[in-house]
Amino acid sequence: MSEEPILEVSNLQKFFPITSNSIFARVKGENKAVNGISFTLRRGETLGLVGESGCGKSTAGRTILKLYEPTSGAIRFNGEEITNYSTRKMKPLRTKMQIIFQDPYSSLNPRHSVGEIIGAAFTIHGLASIGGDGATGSSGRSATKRLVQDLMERVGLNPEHYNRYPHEFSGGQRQRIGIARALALKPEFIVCDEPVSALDVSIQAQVVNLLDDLKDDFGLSYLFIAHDLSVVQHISDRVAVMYLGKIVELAPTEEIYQRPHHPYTKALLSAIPIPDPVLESSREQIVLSGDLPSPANPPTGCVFNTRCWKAQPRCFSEEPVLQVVDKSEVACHYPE
Amino acid sequence: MSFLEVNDLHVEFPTSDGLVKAVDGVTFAIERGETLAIVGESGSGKTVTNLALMGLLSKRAARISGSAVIKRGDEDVELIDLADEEMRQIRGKNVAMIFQDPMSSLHPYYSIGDQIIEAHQVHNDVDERVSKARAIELLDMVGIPDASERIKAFPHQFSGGMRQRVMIAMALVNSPELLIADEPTTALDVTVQAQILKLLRELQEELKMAIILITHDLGVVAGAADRVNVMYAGKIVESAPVRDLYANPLMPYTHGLLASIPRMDRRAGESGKRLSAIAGQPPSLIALPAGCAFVPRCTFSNRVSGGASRCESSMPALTEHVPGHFARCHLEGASL
Repeated sequence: MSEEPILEVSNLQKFFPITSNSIFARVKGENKAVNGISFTLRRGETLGLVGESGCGKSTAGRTILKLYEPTSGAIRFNGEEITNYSTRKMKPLRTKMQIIFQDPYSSLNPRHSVGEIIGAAFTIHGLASIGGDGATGSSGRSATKRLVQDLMERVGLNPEHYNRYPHEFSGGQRQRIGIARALALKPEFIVCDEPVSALDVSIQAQVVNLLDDLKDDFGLSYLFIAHDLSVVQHISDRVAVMYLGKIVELAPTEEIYQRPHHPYTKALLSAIPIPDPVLESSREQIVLSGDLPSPANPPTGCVFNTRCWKAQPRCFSEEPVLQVVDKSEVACHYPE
Repeated sequence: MSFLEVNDLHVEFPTSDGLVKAVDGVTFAIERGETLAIVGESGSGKTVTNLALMGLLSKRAARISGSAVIKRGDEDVELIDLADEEMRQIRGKNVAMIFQDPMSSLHPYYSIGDQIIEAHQVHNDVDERVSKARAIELLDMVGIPDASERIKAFPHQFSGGMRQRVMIAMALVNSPELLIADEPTTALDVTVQAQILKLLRELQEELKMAIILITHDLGVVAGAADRVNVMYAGKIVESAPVRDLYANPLMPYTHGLLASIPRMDRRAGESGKRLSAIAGQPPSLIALPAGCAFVPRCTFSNRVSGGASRCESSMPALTEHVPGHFARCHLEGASL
């Protein structure tokens, strides 16, 4: 891992308009899915982005890849500011930035064979004959096929299944297809959006190990989005905790799991059941009351103040910003 | 005799591809006030087992055999092959069920009050006002604030965690003696999961009901169950008190499952960088092997006297290796 950043995100916001339900749709308000987040990802690093559903972690991942237009803020990839790039200007960069989706069932076209799904990347970017002699036509196709089969083998699929369709594969195998597709163009940076959440426990470990190996082999940097904090701990170098569109804590993995400073991080960690009945019965759990407030109308002051057990008047009037506490960055007026 | 005794239950689905043996000879018992967890991956038969008990499988689609006897007052009732009319007397009254997805298991057109009142009216010949009072009492008990007002609200006006509370209130409205909870927290966020599990624990203590908890999450099991049945390919492969199971798993599959989950309470360095995944995939339920279904993925079969060929050809019996601790494995003394 180097100190050189591959990705810098500063004060990124993504708001979705809420429209009234009539033909003359009027904008009634804004869903503040991502509300000003800043972080850097170093080359070769895995940054875990965790939080509960609706906290904006997936939106953040997709906005960074410009799959959504950012509302404001800046995204710099390899030192290049891409915030306002058009689709056309983004296209060459797409070979460098890729995404793996959560649901291996809906993210693969059921009418395309595995070969077509993985090979599409070469076709789209006019690289059908990469590694060949620049030939087009049948020799270009066979070159693509060879590349795709190499990729299939690399992610643990049988290359002979080149002509099969997604429904002939299990969930874990489909996720491997999604990974092969993301790797096809030798990217530098991959957003992994809940890549193992839809998989069975015994298959999860296989895919986590695969992602780990590929990272070293291909020199990748990951933004690893997940709600499962045990998986995130295993794979990440640093972890950012999101709540209601904001990063509330950002710290090296060791630090955040051993010494959480933000009350929300603390509650989140304590809520995770540990697969050990003896430990589980003696563990002190912080059970948060209430639900996540609406991101269309977040609380003023600290976003966590409606559920925080140690909220003070200041937490309702003044919004805390990320500040350094020990080795962590924490957005709390009264960090633990 | 126990409160519920299931004996040699089989559920088979004839399909155009062949006979799917979803549940293949399952035997277990549960006492009043006890929580029995059924753990397994998708397709292991944990849900189908319980749908069969509740008479919720179409008799045209499923072939069910075996026996399941439940105590109802002083009388013993055989649930398998019970006439629909009699089953309706038991379902929702003596035995109730909550499902995984609170989004799709409530009717979107009726207020939650109407739905809970209906569940009460079906089994009690009382005035609707009595049922309404009971519904409010239950909503209050499951922690829905302002229950007498909220009873008029519709499912879409509740968050996921709140809807699951409504489902629990509906299930408990007739004070069932057995609650079957099928992945009750899988669709929920961890902080909400902690709330719901705590609620179930408290309600069980108060109402002294038996709970069958179906889940794939070994962390949830550790904190919630008294006894655990591990299922694989339609069979119970291990059954033990919760502490014994985690401290000393006797079946290679359980051992593999426990080893494959990343542990938050252990530092990354301690558990090694790689997860020990179980190789391969669960078998097809159409072409189950004659012997142990786990052999193709098992790393211990070479230590069995007689070798892996014995595991492949003969199905081990569910044997009591330690008092109260059963495992289905040929391994001598099941020493892993």
